[in-house]
Order: sequence, then C-alpha cells, then structure tokens
Amino acid sequence: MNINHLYLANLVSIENTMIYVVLSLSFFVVLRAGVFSFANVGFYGLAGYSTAIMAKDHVPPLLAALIAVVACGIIGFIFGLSVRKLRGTYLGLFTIAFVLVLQVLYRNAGTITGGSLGLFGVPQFLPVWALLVIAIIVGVVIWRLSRGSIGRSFEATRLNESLAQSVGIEVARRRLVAFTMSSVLGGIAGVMYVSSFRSITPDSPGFNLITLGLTMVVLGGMASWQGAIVGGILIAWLPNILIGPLQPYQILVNGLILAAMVVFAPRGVAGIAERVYRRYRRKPAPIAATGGAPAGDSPAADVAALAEQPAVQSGEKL
Amino acid sequence: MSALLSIKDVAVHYGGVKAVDGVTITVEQGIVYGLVGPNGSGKSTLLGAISRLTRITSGELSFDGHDYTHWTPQRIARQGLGRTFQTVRLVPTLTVEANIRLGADTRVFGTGIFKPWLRPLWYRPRDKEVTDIAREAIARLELESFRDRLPDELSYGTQRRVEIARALATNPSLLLLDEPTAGMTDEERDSISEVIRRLRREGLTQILVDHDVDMITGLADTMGVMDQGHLIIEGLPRDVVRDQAVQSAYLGRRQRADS
Repeated sequence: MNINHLYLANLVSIENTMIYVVLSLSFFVVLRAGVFSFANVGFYGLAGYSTAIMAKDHVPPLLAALIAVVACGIIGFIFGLSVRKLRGTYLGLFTIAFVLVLQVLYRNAGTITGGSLGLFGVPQFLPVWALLVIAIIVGVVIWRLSRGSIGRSFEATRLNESLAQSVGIEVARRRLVAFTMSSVLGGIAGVMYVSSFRSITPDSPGFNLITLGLTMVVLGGMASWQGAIVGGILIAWLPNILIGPLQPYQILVNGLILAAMVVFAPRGVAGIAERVYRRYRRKPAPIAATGGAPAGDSPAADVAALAEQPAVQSGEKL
Repeated sequence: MSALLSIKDVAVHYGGVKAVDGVTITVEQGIVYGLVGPNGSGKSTLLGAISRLTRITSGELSFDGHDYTHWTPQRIARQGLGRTFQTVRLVPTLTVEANIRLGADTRVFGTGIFKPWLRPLWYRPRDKEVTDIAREAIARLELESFRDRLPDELSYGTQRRVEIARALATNPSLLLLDEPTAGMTDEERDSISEVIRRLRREGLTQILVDHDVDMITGLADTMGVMDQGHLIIEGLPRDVVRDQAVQSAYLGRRQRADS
C-alpha cells in the first residue's frame, strides 16, 4: 500500500479527470458566448474515431491525433458559419441531431468503424503526464480568454446581444470563434479518450456524454471557467465517491445532481463560492471588474439568456 | 452648420402595423434634437432604426457623410453613433466599471480577439487607456461610489446613469438617449439635464427622446413631435408646443390620460 498502488487503483479516474476538464471547458466555451450547442460531442466522436482509424492504418498515432484535431477546427469553423442564423434551443436541437446522426454512421460503416462493437486496440500514445499537460494548456488558454476585454465582450454577447452591438462588438464573429474553439476542444477530449482507453464505441460520443458534460458545467457554474474545471473534476471522481449500493445508479445520481443544482444553486459550485466570498468580503469580487468570473445573485440571467433567444435574429421590439 | 445625421422616408412596418411611417429628419452638428410623442407613437422604434438595431422597411440613412442604410449596428456604433436604451441594458454579471469599460473596449482594442488574447505587451497600455476613459465617464456621471457594485444592487436611476456613462465611453459623435430620465427622482432628473447641457456645450450632438415635454423644451434646440408613426411637426420648441396639431394629438391626449 503506497502512492504507486493508490495511483494505479485510481488510474481511470485520474485519466477521466483530464479528459473531463477539457470536455467541460469545450461546453463552457460555447455556453459562455450564448451559443447553445452540443456539436463538441460530435467532434469528440469524430476525432476519436478518425484517430483510431488512422492509427490502425499505421499512421503514427500522435500525427493521426494532430490531423484529427486540426480537421475538427476546420470542420467546426465551416459548421459554425452554416448555422450562424440558428439561435437558442433550435441550435441545441440541431447539434444534438448532428451527434445522433454521427452515431448511426459509426454503427453502420462496417469494418471502417467496427460497427456496434467499435474499434479496439488503439495504441496508447498519450501518457498520463501528457494528458495533464494538455488539460493545463487548455485551462490556461480559456483563462486568458475570460479576462479583460475579451471576457467582457463574451459576457455582453451572451446576456444582451443588442447592447453588445450598440458598443460595436462583432457578436456573430464572437460566436463563430466560440463555436470553432469548442469543436477543437471537443476533438482534443476525444483524442485524449481514445488514447487512454485504447478503444472507442458508437456509444461513447452520444447523448450520455451530452448530459454528462452539461452536468459538469451546471455543477461547476455555467458562467465561469473555474466552475467548469471544478465540475469536470467532481464528475470524474463521482464513481469513487459513490460507494456500495449506489454505484450502479450513477447516471441516475448525475441526473439528480443536475436537477438539484438547477433548482437550489443555479450558479453552481462557483456561484456558492462566490456568495461565500462576497459575504466574507462584504463587497463584490474584484475578478468581475476585469470581466472574468460572474458575480451576483441573478441566477436566472444566464440560463434565461440562452433559452430565450429567438430562433433567428430579429430586430428590437416595438 | 452641416448635417450630421439625415434620414429620409424611413419606415418600419411589422406586418400591418406601421410603427414608423415615412419619417424624414435632419440633425445638424452640435444640436440637441428633442423627440416627443405619446406612447406607441414610434419614437423608440425610430431610434432603433437610426441605430440599425431595428430593420427598416424602406428609407435611407446617412451619418457623417456615410450612407449606412445597409450597415450592421456594430459598424455604425464604431463609426460614432452611441445610444442608451428605453429599458436599461446592462450586463448583470459585470460591475459598474466593467459595464462602462465595455463602451471603450472596441474603440481601443478593435474588434479582433487574437491580439488582446495573445499579446499582453500590446494589451497592457491599451487597458490603461480603457481605464482612463471609463474613469472619466464615471466621474462625469458621478458614479464613483458605485464603481465596484453590480447593476442589480443599484436604483433604476443609477442604472440609467451607468448606461449613459457606457454610451459616453464609446466616444460618440452622435448620442441617442431613449428616455434617459424615466424612473428617476426630480433631483436625478436635474442632474441628467445638467449632463446633457454640458455635453451640448462641448459640441456633442444628441437626440433626446422623452415623455417630459417641459424637460425637452428646456434642453432641445430643435423639437419634433411624433404621432402614430409620423413626424407631425418639427421646429423650435417654443413654436412646437404652441401648435394646434400638437395640442390635440399629444398634449390633449396626455391631459385626458392624466385626468
């Protein structure tokens, strides 16, 4: 019984932590910009499958992964351009359809994708330390994108589009950047997954992953990058925390957590931390002044801003 | 004096509803143009059309020599058209100061995302500049004590002042104020009137929309009255308020509504 033993016993959770942090941030990036999209899960599958296929075809796996992630960026950009007029839940539904259609494709593409069984025996090309490095780099990139003027412009884009336009922000371009970035992050998470578990099945990038990702972001706090990271870590370790008889019901527990958070703490763990901090300091958190984390107790604002957007951009009301 | 803004035959129709129907206005450089009219007469819709946030059905828009009929709202905003909204629009998750910085951001950093993201040495001096602009706007509207507060914690009148400060931080050459004193106490109203007067002395052209005819007549150089989507009269405030058509269309109706 030593550190090494503990490490090996929890290896799956450790690997999942890094993957989930990146996945969670890929959700956060679009939601933060007011784009209600789950296309990142589709790109997670695309990148995972294409890496596995190329690796089986004797392409060096690291190169295959790199190609897959770059391709996700390019396809994500084109995808983002073509759906730029869709808003709110319409875009959400469209991207869920994208994920489901891809699943059908994986199941029915014969030997290329291995059908329902998926692909096995992909060489592990990313050691655990590399996963950690990737997660940290992604975290730093998102942190830098949440500060100062960029963070402010994303907040304004999400919460009040016409206000953002009235101060000269190119909202459509902000959304496209967010969408593309989310596609790339989804692809990176997929590559990390396929390397860690050396396999991919049609079920991995599906509806379950969407709900799992949403749980992470909602649990952590939708409007802050710190929250997204905390949410990813918590969900990765949840199976270890759920001991004994609860373990088979993990998906049920995830659902209950999601429902409970939406009702009791809509701003997530980050929101609770913020409230405690503000009570202690008796003043608003200074991060908000530079446009980073959210503050305040207007829980409805974020969720409502996402859900209530019109399907197609319309003018100001009468 | 030259025309800063000129709009020609602007119409905004929603299906069969003619919210604005063929309005032509010319706003000279440096003046305050007051626009009054009963509820639903199309004042705010007209401001939406001028700022390009509302799609116009027909008409032509020209600002500072540019025909901007087909521009996006963000482009005309960067060209120097600032505005506030009838219902206050602030970002609830940002502090008062951050909300005001938002006004200066695109002017100083541009519209791109990559330079401010990847180049801290490029970013820092510009961020300082944004701070200076924001602090100046804060001082102008006497918001110093609210700098680190969130919009939810402020009174409606104060929120309106934050919005005006944000619009000023965009350094507009034309400022559209949509009912800037609605929901304010008399004291706050006087201080906003004083801000408008001071800005006018500094040469800022403004279009002021309000219900308060007395305030508009006290502030505006030119006054227009709208009714049912039409501009029914335009001229010097003291002439306009004496006009028969205005008395019956707007003032009369208002008195009836008041009684």
